[in-house]
Formats: sequence, structure tokens, C-alpha cells
Amino acid sequence: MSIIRQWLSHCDSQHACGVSLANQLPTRLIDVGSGVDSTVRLYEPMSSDSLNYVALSHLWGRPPCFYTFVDNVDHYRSNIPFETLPKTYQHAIWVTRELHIRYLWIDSICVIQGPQGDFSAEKNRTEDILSQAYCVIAASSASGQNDGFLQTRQKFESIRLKPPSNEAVICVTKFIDDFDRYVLQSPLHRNARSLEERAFARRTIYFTSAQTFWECGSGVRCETMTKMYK
Amino acid sequence: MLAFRDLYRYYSRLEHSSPEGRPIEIARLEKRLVHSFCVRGGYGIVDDAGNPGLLRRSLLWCRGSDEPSLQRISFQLEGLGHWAGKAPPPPSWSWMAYQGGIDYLDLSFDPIEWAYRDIESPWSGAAMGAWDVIGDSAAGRTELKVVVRSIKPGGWKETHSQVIYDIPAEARKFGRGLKCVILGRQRSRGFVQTRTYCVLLVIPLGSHFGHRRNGELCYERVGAGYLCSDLIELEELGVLASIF
Repeated sequence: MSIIRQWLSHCDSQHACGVSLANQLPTRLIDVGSGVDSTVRLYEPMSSDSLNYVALSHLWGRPPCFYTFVDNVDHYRSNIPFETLPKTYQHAIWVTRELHIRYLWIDSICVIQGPQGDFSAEKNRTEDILSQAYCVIAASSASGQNDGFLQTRQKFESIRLKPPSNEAVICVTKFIDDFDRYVLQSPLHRNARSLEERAFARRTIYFTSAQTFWECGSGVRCETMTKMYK
Repeated sequence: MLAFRDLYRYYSRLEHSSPEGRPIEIARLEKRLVHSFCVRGGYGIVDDAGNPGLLRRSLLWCRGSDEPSLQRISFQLEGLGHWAGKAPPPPSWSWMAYQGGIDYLDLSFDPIEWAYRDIESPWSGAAMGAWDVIGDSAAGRTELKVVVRSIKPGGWKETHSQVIYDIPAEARKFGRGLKCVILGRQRSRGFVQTRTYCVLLVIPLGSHFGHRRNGELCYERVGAGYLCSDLIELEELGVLASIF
């Protein structure tokens, strides 16, 4: 996560990708609190609020899925029990806290689902919600809400080369900076809905089975320190 | 055009939760691009009043080389829930009416002379940035006004071998009903015996030849490709019609 924080910090200071504090906020956000054991709840921003939030791009997967409905939204305004959340959402909350951001937008929770919900009104705002997010988290390796995206990664064999002097050890491993293979061919990005989410986001962090990728207006960065330019 | 082409080629190979989602799950992005590039368009087709080649290149999509066949999508508008509107589903000249990956005709050979009179843009007269999509009850018309031309008798076999049918299994049923619409031709300097034409292939809509709707001859698209001038009845004026 420290590498991700550095990517964000570098982008904030060096690029024009970041947004100023969003002024037309989503109708609802998830308040993840500020600590590991903080209460998670729904928060409805006021018109005077000016804050940052992270948005989650993910596959809902097969039912049962975790939703907000008309009959549980009041309860979620005071508390969304963390242990009842599916693994992908728990991981998203953890990442948001690690990024030192207080708020998270997840469509199935922040938009009231069902016939009496506000999906019709909110669907037209999705483009703005994504483009005004501080950044988007893409759960690329997850096929659904229950998979999570912070699981143990694929293992790759490597060779460690230690120079005779006191310079740092060099690790040589298989090429894993294949954005197409690990991001574009991932379950999330083979799904057509994710294309718009990727297009509208100003900055995206992709959590894949091999490594984490960063994408912003100036190109792609990898945990392996490779940079790729568009 | 390259940006749109690459985007649509990529998008056409993605998976949808349901086939009817194909025109919808790119709708917002398409709208944004149409506005940003100051063009007009919809249904995966792009038009620029000042650049006739854009519409014609855009219409010359074809079944992907990795696809044995496209599949026509049956749009049950009621099932689309919030996205449903009173607007009609994508027309046959749009790749959004089908499942399967698409490519575009490779028009990188000699410069092309575009046919100005054989096709009229669905957005002619519309403002820059005009955009249509399924579910948009303000959507404009979905028919493409064209000049339909016959294929010369005896030219069927060669035609079948030169064009790319959207659904190849249906091609053997076309017979004399198969017509073409010229979108452009290979430019040449001086006199040449034959030229290569870029065409859409169409058949009459419905089960009867010359099916009419509101007095218009109606056709549906069945493929695209190149035809040699020897195969097209170029001496005739052609017939005004609409592709739905």
C-alpha cells in the first residue's frame, strides 16, 4: 500500500489528473471511519460538504448479493455491520482506510435497489460519480462480491542476484507487467460494464492476481516499478 | 475514426450480463465521445457533416475474422427495466443489433471516392453532438436512406465469395433479393476497366420482395465487403429505399 500512496501523492503533485474536492457529491457514500474498528455506515452528504471519496469498480457476481433496499437503508445509516459485508467490500474498505480517505462509493450499497429505490435517478449520475472520485479501485481479480481482491497472489519463480558490493539485491523473475493479460483479460474487465468505469475514472488502481497496476492520464505504473506510457 | 473503430472492436468482444445490454453498456461513453469530438452519431456509428468518409467508414463494419457468425439480438424492451424506453432497438445497419466481435473493412488501399448520393446520414439536419441510443425516447429515426442497386445476373457466386456476411448460414437463402448499397469506390487516375466498390449487402425486409412501409421500400443489412464493378448494375439508376 505504501507504493500506492506514493503513486497517488506523485500524481497529485505532478499531474493534472486529480480533481479538486468534488462539489456535486453522490447522494450516498459509505463512511468507513478512520480506524480499523470504526463503525461503517451510510452517509448522505450535505450540500455544503466538500470531501474526497474512493469509488469501487467490481463485478456483482452471482446472487445472493449485498444490497441496500428501502427497508434497510435506515439501519445502514447508523451501522453496516462489517462482518456481514462480502469480502470484496471488506477489502475495499480496508484499502480506502489505508489511503487515508474517509468515504467510499459502492453502487449496490449507495444506490437503493429494488422497485422503490432510486436507481433510475442515480444511474444518470454514474459518469460524474466516477470522474469526480479521488480514485477508483478496480477489483480486477474478483469474479463477484464474495471473492475479495487482496488474496494471496500468483507465485512466480525468481532468481536473486547479490552484487559483490553492498548494493541492493536484484530479483529477476518472469515478466508480469502484462497489462493486457492481468487487467484487460481479468474477469472484471472482460465484462462490458467495466469499460465505462475505466473510461470515466481519472485514476484507477487495479488489484490483479499478479500485482497492482496504477493508471492515470500520464500512463500506467506497476509494482515492479515499470512505467508504461500511452 | 481510428479511436472509435478501436473502441468498438474492443467493446464488441466483451461479455454482457444479457445480450440486450450491448447498446446500453457503452451508451454514456459513446455520448461523451460524440460530444467531445463534435460529431453526431449513435448505435455505434459516427457521422461528421464535414467529413463524409467518417459515416461510411463507420458503416463498413463487418463480422470479426475470429467469428464464424454473428447472432441477431432479440430485444425484449420490457425486460430492460429502467433502461427501456419507447425508442426502437438498434437497426440492422448497427453492429449493436448483433452479438459477436466486429472488425472494419480494411480501406487502406488506394484513396477512396465516397458516394455522396447513395446514402443519407440519419443525423442529417441534426445539431453537432446529436446522439441516439436505445431507451432515448427523443431518438431520431433509425432508418438509413439509401440507393439500392442490383447485382448482375450470374454474379451471385462471385459476390458470395467476396463479401463478408454477418450471418453466413442465411446467405444461401438470399437469391435475387440480394442487393447492394455503394458507399465508395477505389479512386483511380485515368481510365480503368474495373474498379473496386465498398458496399453494404441488403435484402428486402420481411418475407416479401419489395416490402413497403409507409410507401418506402424497406431493406435490412446482411453484410459488407468489396465488389468489383463487373458485378454491379451500375448502368441503372438504382432505387431509393431505407435500411432498418
